[in-house]
Amino acid sequence: MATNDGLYASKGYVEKDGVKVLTSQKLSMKQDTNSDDVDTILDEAGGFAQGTVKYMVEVESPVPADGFEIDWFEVCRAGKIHQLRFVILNPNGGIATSKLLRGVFRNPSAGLGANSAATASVAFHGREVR
Amino acid sequence: MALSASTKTPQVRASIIFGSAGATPSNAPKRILLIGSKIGSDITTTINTSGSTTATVTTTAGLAALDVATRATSPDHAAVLAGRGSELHLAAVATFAQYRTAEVWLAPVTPGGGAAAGSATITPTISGLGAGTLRITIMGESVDIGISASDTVSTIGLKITQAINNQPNWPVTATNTWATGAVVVTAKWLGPRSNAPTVRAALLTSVATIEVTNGTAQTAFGLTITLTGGTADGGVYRLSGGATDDNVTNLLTALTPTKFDRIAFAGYRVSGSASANLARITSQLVTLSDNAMFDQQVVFGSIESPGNNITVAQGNNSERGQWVGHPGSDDLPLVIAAQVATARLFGDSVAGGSIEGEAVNPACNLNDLELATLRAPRDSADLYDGTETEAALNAGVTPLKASPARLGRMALVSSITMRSLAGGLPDFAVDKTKEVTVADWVRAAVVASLQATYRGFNLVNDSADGTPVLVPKTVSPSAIEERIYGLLKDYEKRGYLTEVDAHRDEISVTRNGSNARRVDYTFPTVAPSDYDIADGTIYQRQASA
Repeated sequence: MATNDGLYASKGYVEKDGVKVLTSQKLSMKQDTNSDDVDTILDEAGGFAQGTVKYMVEVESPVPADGFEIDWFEVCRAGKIHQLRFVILNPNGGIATSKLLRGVFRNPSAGLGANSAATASVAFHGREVR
Repeated sequence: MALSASTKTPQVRASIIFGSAGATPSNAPKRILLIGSKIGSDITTTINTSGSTTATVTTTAGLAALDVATRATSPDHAAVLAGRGSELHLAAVATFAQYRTAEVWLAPVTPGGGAAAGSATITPTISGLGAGTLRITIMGESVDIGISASDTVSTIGLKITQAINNQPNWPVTATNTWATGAVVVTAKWLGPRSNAPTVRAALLTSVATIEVTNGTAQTAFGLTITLTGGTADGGVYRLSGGATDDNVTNLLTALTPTKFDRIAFAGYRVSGSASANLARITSQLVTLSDNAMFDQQVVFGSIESPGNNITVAQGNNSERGQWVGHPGSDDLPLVIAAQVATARLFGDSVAGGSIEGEAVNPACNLNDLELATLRAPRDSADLYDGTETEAALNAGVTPLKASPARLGRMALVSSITMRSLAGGLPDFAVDKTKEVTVADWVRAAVVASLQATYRGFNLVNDSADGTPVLVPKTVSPSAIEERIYGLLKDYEKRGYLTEVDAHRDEISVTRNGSNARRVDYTFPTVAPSDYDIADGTIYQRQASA
């Protein structure tokens, strides 16, 4: 258990197939356990059914002047299986935590707006490699 | 082979150290190379049709150049390239029978100087001849010849000769002597491997089939058939006199730039010792694995006795070789090798099996692999028995067994490498051929991935505080190590590897101390074990009173 000296992790990155994505401005990872409540009628017994554990990662990056760091549209169109590592850095050095996932990229999008950098985003759905 | 620290050429490579605690290694092996003999020049066979007249039959030579590999796209194309009925043609037929769309290459070897072809003689004699049927069997395939009471030894000899020469796919031609009726059967190619074809006869009456399978003459309906000039070998009679081994050195040199996933060659002895060609081939494969990362394996097919198989396999002891023993077989050694090599790659669905093959799954269990056309020995005593099978599997020999599903056909007991010794003592660190296949596959996959992933990257040290290097197009050893781990876990998920986490600490990537532009990496490959044995204990009990 990490000691809490008031310092919290605030940086991290995702790594696609062994290569770090360096220019993200927003990263999020969500685990969906897909477990379900099992409630029986008469005895009101509360049980649970295990589900398949999946991870969803969302990546949003500003678009550099010379083009995408990674063209998520091409990656998604290829439809291949990828490995994605979600890493949170320890501000004192090293890696606080990381999770290696295997899955697919989907739902790429790019956006432009007044007074803001162009952004590209993508979602990753996968399972933990273990 | 370790890369010299002075090497400057940018590259990603890996060596394999078999049977070690830590080591390294393709994707979809598909090419099969058959090394053997072709019909070198047109064979003009003279048939004496009477005491004063003759006819000739010409067997056309193969068009393929010697000592290079030429692709054959079908059995008939192989016949054009190597000559119909040649060692290479028959092996190609066996290959396509196992997997019709296999990529097959033929590599004919220049015969040894003054080489001779194997032969044997079938001699008919008569006394009170009646009507009956004479069956001539070459290499397990038969023709029946009607004999009438009015025949003479001359006409019987002529009938035998014509019957044999009417079979263009047979490995022999036949000539007759009119006066005696003696028929000399001669292999279509030269050298010691031409002694392998089997010849036998049978006399068929309405009540019995009397086989002539060795030098002992047999008689029925007044016709006696004698086999001479060949060699009795277990339950079969083989040609004899084929001599002067060829040399595959020039061929291997010519093949050096080209990778073949499986290579098939005859496993044979010359004057009581293993042919020098065997070690030439296995040495070449080891060298090319080190120098060019070629994931090649050779399959030797053998008709030698179980004891000789062990002697030769252990004498070679190569992890890249497989010695397949099929004593008493009617099939040629190269045919055995070709069909096993093809079945290993592409499985046995053609024979109703369920094994997918190494091209689809490098870690697949090849026990009971069905071989489409390999025949069971004529004499069941030549089959590997339980004791011989156990001894073979302990000594680098892959025995064949009668197919449990298809009468008269063969299957693999278990696919093992020729390596069974280390320092002269039994060692099974590289027992199954899958240990090699998986190591090869993983090497190729990791190398390909690293090449693609870090193309154009710079290399820097890991940061002192363990923080990953966060610079574009820049990688450090720990990042490569993580990538290799991720890849190995991926292969584990596919079922090609096991125990990746148990050996996580053995994945090592370090920057070379002498060459700052180089990383040295090692990782182990552990192939999933075949499920070979189930040994239970069952307690019989009496019913309760």
